[in-house]
Amino acid sequence: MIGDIFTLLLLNPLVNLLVLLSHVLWGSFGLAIIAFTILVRVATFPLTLRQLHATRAMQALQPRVQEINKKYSDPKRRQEEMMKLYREGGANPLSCLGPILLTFPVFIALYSAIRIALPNSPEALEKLSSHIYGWSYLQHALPLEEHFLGVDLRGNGGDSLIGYFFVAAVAATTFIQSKTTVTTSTDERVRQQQQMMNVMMPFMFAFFAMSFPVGVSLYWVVNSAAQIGFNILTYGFPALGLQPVFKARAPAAAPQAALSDGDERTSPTSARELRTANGSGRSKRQNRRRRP
Amino acid sequence: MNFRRGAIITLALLLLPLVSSCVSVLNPTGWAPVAFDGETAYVITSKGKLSAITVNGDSGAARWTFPDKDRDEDDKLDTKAIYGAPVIEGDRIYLATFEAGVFALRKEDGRPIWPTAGSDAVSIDGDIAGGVAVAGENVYFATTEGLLYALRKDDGAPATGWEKPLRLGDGIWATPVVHGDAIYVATMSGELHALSAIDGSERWSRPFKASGAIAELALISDELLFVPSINRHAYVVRMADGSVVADFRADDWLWTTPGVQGSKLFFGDFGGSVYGLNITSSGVEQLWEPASLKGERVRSGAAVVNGVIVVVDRKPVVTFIDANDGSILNTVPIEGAGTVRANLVVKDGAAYFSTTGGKLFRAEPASRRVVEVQLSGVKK
Repeated sequence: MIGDIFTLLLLNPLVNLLVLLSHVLWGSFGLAIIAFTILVRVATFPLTLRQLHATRAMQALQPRVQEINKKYSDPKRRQEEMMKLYREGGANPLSCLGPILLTFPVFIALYSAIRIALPNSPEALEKLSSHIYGWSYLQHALPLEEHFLGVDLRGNGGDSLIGYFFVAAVAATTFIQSKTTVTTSTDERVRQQQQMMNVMMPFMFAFFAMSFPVGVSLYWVVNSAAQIGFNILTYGFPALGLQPVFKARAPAAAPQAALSDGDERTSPTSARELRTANGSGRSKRQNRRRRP
Repeated sequence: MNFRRGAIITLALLLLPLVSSCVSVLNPTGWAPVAFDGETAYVITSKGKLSAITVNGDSGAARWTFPDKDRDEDDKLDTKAIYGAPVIEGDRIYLATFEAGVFALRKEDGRPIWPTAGSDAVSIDGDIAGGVAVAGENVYFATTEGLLYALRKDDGAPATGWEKPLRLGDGIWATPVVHGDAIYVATMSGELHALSAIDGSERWSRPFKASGAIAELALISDELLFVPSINRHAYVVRMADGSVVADFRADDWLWTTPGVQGSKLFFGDFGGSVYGLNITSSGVEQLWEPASLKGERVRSGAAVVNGVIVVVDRKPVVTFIDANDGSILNTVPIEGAGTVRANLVVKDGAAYFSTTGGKLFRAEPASRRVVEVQLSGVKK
């Protein structure tokens, strides 16, 4: 049942869109994957922008989150205060996950679509008929050209020399993406964990890319490259002296009320301060100094 | 990339193969039709294996299987699948396999005459998704990389004038058809070439161009070819000059061979419709409204015996249809035998077909029943 819904609503439209793009783009399935990735990024741009705002808001509240954690030992009370803080600060911890949750079905569908649209056997081409819409224009495009930049997009990354190039590109773009992404936590321990993840992730994804079709790696590389560009436009890249182009919305000025017993607490941090805090990895102690 | 995001992505990647397994992708299995030589049937009894079966009524005893799992020299043969019918000529069988190339086998014991273990087989670029065609002194076959090869029948070396394969298109999946001294080759880029079997030179001023990929090709008379396209068109093409006698549009993909009765053609499509066409001097006329097989794909080529069409869909269900009016006479579902994609072959008033489960069936139009030929001694 779930499989049928997945096939009907996501997989089949994706297979047909890829076939259509491939036919339009000189019969190149590789170009179709690139065009598809860009289309998805453009379509989800508002969602990505919302995620940015949510990340900013979450980041602004981190010093207060730390204080609540310290202040309340009762988990229930702590949770209540946290929710109050998030509500009044205009932040939603789950909103950061929106684009990721959207990416996964697309990623899984793309993984399946590549395997279906580039059949490796007569039986697989026969089965493709059940996924393709009855439009003559689409059917005229079949079978698709499976080679792109000298590599078989159906083959796994670890199967060929050029495949390894794509594996390396997956690792490189994942690493750069992590370096250009804002870190929300001001907790030193969490920051260290995140730095470790930043190093581990490229290796892990490279490992996955070895056993995934090269077409999926191509999607990953283009998607990451787009995200890197977006990150630089929104966060800037201080290492290269690049300033952000899009200004993030300042978080709501409410966190004071979150600590209901009247303790003095940090005032809402401006977007500019957040950038600084994020860029240099300012510690809790440094944050405390700025309290009124 | 923050910790939470990284963890979720990693988890999703780990789950990816599991989730995507909901959408299975089919590996090569093969769909070579049965070939008869007297009372011996050559049947694909498991993936990539051919068995010689002596048929006696409703039973059949295997004489040999190739490749033979009990022979050390066959261990390295990874045929993967067999799509084209074996061609029997004299005391030999010529067989194309998907990944292991072409073999000449001894009919008596199924052992390779060429290539033999340790000998230099011809290097083949691509897989063979069709079968072989034998004419004169040569064996012809084509590959998924769009190359047409000709080998000498006696020793499997490249034939004279064919030292290098002929590149014809993006991919060739249909078995080449030989007629007289011409060879007809269809490509997945939708072209049909007529070539000299001697030197590969083009016979027509330009290739026939279909509107979609051509994955099957069939000789329907001494003058005409049946050219189905996955873009729903069925063409009837004159072999002499490549001109189109008829262009019929079906409701779904066409990837099959027709049953032929005089000037009449009967075939099914991937939408489960079965068509009856009559070739006339001005094209084709539809004999009756298409018979419906409830939407099941028909890849298997139909057979016509004594005015009854026998069609098998992928489920598989065997359907007997009256060739005069298209009415369904009987349907016989087959349970637990795999699916059917292999063409039907007529012998002694019955239509034989094999399944992907390695079973052999006989459909009897006279009684509208289907009988399984019980096979014994087959090495899986």
